[in-house]
Order: sequence, then C-alpha cells, then structure tokens
Amino acid sequence: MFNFFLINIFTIIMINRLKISSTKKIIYFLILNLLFIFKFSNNILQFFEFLILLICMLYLFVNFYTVRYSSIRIKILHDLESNKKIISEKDLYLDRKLRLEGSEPNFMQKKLFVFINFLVNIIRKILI
Amino acid sequence: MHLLSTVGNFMILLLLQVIIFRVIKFKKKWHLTTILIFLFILIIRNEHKYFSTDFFEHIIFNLVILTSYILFLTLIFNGSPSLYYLNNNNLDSFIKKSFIKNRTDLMIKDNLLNKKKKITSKGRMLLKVSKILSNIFFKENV
Repeated sequence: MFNFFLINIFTIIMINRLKISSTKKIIYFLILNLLFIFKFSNNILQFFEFLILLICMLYLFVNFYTVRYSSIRIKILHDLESNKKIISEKDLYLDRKLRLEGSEPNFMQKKLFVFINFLVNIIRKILI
Repeated sequence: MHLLSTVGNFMILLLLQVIIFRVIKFKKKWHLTTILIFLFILIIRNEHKYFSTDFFEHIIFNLVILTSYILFLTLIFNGSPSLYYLNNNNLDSFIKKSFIKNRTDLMIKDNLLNKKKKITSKGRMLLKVSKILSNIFFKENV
C-alpha cells in the first residue's frame, strides 16, 4: 500500500514534466498505475484497495490543478498581486459560461461537471 | 486488508455527519468536525499494533480518502460557481449568489486579504504554495 502510494506520487511528478495536455497527463497516469494494480494485486480486495487509493490520489492531484487555474480565491489573490481589479460577478459568470458551453482544451469539460454535479446532489441530499 | 475496516469507518462517519449536520444542524466548522470525528473513529476502531507497518498503511489509506472527501465536501458546503451555472444559467440569479463577495469576505476572515482588500503576506504565501504544488504535481503545459 505504502509503495503504491509512493508510486502514484512518483508517476504524477514524472508525467507532469511531459509537454502534453492535462487530459493526456490524466490518461497516462491512469494507464500506468492501472498496470501496476493489475500486476501487483494478490486478490480482489487488494485490487479494490489500490483502485480506491488511485482514484483518491488522482482527485488530490487534479485539485492542485483546479486550485491554480479555477479557484476564485487564487484568482482574486492573483488579480490583486498583479495590481488588477478583482474579477466581477459578471466576469465569473462569463468565464463559467465559456467553460461549460464552449470547448475547453483541458479536461474541465461539461460532462465532467455533470458527473460531479450528480455526486454532489446525492451527498447533499444525505448530509444537508 | 484495510478495505473493509475503512468502508466501516466511512459509514460511521457519514452516519455521525448526518446526525450533526442534519439533526443538530451544526454546520459552521464542518471541515474541523469531519476531521475530528474521523480521527476519533480511526483510533477507536484501530485493529493494528500502533506504529507497525500495517498501522501506517491503514492510516495513509484512510487519510488519503478523508482528504479527498473533505475537498469534495467543499463543493457542497462552499458552493461551486461551475456547478451553480450548470443547474441555473440565469445571469441575474448567478450574480445574486455573490460568489466573489462571499469568497472575498471569507478571505478577509482568513487573513488572506486585509480590510482594505489588499493582499496580505499570508495571501502571497498561499498564491506561491498553490503555484509550486501545481508545478510539481499537475500543471497545464500546452
């Protein structure tokens, strides 16, 4: 388990150095680590353990990306440091409209948000 | 094997979260509440010898899932403009939701901005750390 955790970190650092799109980085990361899982799982329970760890690690790595390129807090801090005016509510709306209705070159596309929205609605109904 | 006990830990966490967030309606410090409940469950239900390899593997497995879960919960408790747009793309209601104002208020509360809405040293540090982590783990190249 600990070795697989380190392999995940090592592979994402290596793949991140490649000059390829974010979508391809995710695909390469998944293929490489799924190969590790198939090779080193001794039974079905261990297979699912590794798979869950892989999905959670990918989610954490993707968050480093989304925080940098999509977080409102980081955008506000970036605007202030560059002596620019803070993004307005309308600008944010237009940015999200472009993301969800345009064709984003990265992995943050409408179908991903539809899937996340589905999960969010389920957990919201349970928790709140 | 850590899978079955971890599933048990998260089922208990979910149950206690329902009681605290839904029944008692205490949602203010939801992230801290979640972490504390989970650490309590983790210690109470630990079957491994402390400081053994199995113990550390169990802790890593559980903490990775917990971290992902808390990041996911921010979408529910803090709201996401992308998800809001997906559910309601009306400009007026989006503006009424005041995402920027809410985040700015929270940033002042967290000392990332001062009351004059100027960036603080903590804010600069957060900006640098987010860039460094993204450069190491996941950035856009093309």
